[in-house]
Amino acid sequence: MRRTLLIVAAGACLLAPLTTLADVVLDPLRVGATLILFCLGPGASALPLLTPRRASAELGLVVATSLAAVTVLAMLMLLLGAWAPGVMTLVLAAACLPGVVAQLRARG
Amino acid sequence: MKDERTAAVDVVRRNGRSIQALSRELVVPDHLQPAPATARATPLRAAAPCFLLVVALASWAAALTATDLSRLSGYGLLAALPPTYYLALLLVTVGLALEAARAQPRPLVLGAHVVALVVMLHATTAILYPEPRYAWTYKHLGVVDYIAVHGGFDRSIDIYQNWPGFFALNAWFSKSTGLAPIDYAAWAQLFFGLANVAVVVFALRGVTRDARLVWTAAWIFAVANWIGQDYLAPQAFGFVLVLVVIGLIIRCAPPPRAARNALGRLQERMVEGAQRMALRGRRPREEEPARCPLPPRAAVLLGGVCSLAVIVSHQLSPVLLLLSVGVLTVVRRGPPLWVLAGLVAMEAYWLLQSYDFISAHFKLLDFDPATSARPTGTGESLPGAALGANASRAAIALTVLLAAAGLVRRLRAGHWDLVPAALAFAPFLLLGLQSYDGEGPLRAFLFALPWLAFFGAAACAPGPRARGLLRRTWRPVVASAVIGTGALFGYFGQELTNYISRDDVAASRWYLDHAQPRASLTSLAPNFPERLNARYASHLETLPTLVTEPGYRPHRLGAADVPLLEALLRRDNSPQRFVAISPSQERYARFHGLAPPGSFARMAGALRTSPDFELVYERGAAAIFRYRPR
Repeated sequence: MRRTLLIVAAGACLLAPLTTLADVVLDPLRVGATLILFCLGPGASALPLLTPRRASAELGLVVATSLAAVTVLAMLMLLLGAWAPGVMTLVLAAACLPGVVAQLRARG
Repeated sequence: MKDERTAAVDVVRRNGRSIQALSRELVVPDHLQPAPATARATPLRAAAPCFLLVVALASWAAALTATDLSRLSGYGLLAALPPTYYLALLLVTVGLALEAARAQPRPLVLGAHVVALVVMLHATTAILYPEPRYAWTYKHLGVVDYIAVHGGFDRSIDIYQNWPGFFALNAWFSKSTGLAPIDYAAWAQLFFGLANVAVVVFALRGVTRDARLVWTAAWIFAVANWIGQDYLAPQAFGFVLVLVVIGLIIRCAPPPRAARNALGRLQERMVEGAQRMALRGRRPREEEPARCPLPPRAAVLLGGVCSLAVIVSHQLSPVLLLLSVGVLTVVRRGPPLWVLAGLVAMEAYWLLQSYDFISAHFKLLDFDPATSARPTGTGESLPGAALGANASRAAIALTVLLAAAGLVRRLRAGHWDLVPAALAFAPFLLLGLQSYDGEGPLRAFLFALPWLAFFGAAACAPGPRARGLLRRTWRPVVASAVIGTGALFGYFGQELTNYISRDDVAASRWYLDHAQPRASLTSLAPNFPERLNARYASHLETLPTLVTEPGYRPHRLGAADVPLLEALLRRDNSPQRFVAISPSQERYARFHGLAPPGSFARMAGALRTSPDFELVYERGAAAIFRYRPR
C-alpha cells in the first residue's frame, strides 16, 4: 500500500469523526474528510489484510471496495432500522484507523 | 529481459502451464521492443507532453472565464464555449500522443493527460452552471432526501426505493457532512469520470501490463464516453463496481483445469478452432497481464461485496454483470460456475423482494428493438439538434470501427484476445432481454466501451517500425479528433435542455413545500426538475404536459391555448391543481421544435389574465399557477 494513500486515509479517519462531532464551521474540511473516508478508508484498511502484495494498492480497487463496503453498511442501517449516520461515521473511522495506522507503523 | 524471463517462469509455476507456453511468453512484448532511433527521447521531447499539459489546463481555465451561456443553442454548449476550450482539448490530445509515442512512455504522464481530459470534460458544466445539469438528476435527489429524512425506504413509492443502495450511501454522506445532495450533485460527473478511469485501468491490467495500451485505452474511453451516465445516479455507481468485479475475475480467477467432461472438451475444441481460424497459422503470442492483486479467496470476498452493492443499487447493472460473467464462464471456463450461480442467487433474491412493484409497473423482459431513446417531437428542431444526435451516434460507430481495426492488428501480430473480445460483446446480449425504453443499446455500448477502447488503443499504438514523430503520433490524434468531435456533440450538444437554472429549481422546491399531498402539477413541456426533496413521495403522479398531448401541433402558444390547458387539468381529480411554467421547459420545447421562442412568456401572460388561474409563485421566468375554475 502506498504510503501517501495511507497517510491520506489515516488523516481522513481522524478528521471525519472530529469534524462531525464538532459540527461547527469546518464544513469544507468535514466534507473532504468524510469523502476521503468513504472512498479510501475501508479499502485502505482491509485490502492489505487480505494480501501482502503491493499490487493491492491500485486506486481503482481501493475506491470501489471502499464505496461498496460503505453502501452495504448503509443498507444494513436501513434494513436493521438503525439509521444513525453520524454515529456510523464515527464507527467507520474507528474501525478503519487501526488497520491504516498498523500499516504505516510497519513501514516505519 | 532477465525480469521478463523470471516473470514468465513465475507464470508457469503459478499456472502450471506447459514449457511450450513458456517459450511463447519469452517473446519480447511490444512495449519492451527497442525503440527506433528517431523515437529516442531527448530532454526537449521528454518535457514537451508536460508543457502541453500545463498550457492546455491554462487554456481551459481561460475558456471558462470567456464562456457565454446566453449563446446556448441547438448546438448546445459547443456554441457557447470559446475557441480556447477546443485549443485546450487539442493540446492535451497532442500531449498524450507525444507521450504514447515514446519508446518507454511514463505511466504517470499518460495518466496526468487522461485525468486532465476528464477534468476538462466533466468539471466544465459543474463550474459554469448554477445548478446540477439534467432535469432527471433531481428525481434522485428526492430519493436521497427521503432516506436521509425518514431513515428508511418504502418499496411501494417508486422503483428507486426498490434499489436504494446508492441513495442510502448518499443519504449517509449528506447527513454526516451537512451538505445537501443538490450542493454536490454537479460534481458527481467529475467524481465518476475519475473513478471510471481508475477502474478501467484496473480492469484492463487483467489483459495487458503494457502501460501504453492501458492508458491509451483509458484515454479513448474518456473521449468516446458521451453517454452521460456519470451523473449522480445509481448506474454511474454500478458501472464502477461492475468493472472492478470483472477486473477481479480476469485478474484473480485461477486458470481453468483441463476439461473433465464432454461439454468442457467441446468448449476447448471450439476455442482452439476459433483461435486457429483467427490467427491463420500465426504463432500465438500470449501477453502477460499485470500481477494478480489478491489471492482468489480474497478476490471472491471483495467481488462479493462489490456485487452486493451493485445488486441493491441498480436494476440494470447487475444484469450486465451477469452477462459478462456468464460469457467469461463459457469462453474462458473461469470463474468457476459457482461464482456465477452465487451472483444469480443474490440478484434473484433482490429481484424477488422488488417483484410486487415491478410486476405492477414494468415489464421484466421487454424486447423491443424499435424503441428509441430520442424524444418524439413533432416539430422542427433547432439547427444543430439533428446534427448533434447523428454525430454522437456516428462516434459510437467510429469507436467500434477503430476497435475492429485494433482487433485485426492484434490478431495479425499473433495476439489471441479472447477475454476482451468476449467482454466487448457480452453487454449487447442485453438487447435481447430489455430495451430499457430505447436506452439499452447505449447502456450496452457503455459497458462494452472499456474493451472496445482496449482494441482502439491497439489500433492507435505506433508500429514497431514507425519512424519519425508524425508517423508515431498521428493515429491517436486523428482517432481522438474524429471520435471526440462526435462525442462532444453527444455530451454537450443538448445543453439547451440539460441546463437547469436557479429559477427552475426554486419553482420546483416551492411546489413541493407548499402543495398539499396528492396535489397535481401540470406543465407546458417536459424537462422540469421535479421531485427534488423528500416530499416527492406525496406527489408521485406523472407530470402531464401540454406540448406532448396527443394531437398537439407545434405553434406559438398564447391565450388560444388556455382552453386546451384547462381541458387537460379537468381530467385530473386532485384536490389541488397547479401549472408550472419554467425556463427549462421553454428551452426543451424550443430545442425540439415544439414551441417557438416567446411562447411560454405569452402563455404565462394569458394565465395571468385568466380568471381561472391564480399566480401563486413567481421567480424570474418561472411561475406556478393554481387552477381554480369558476
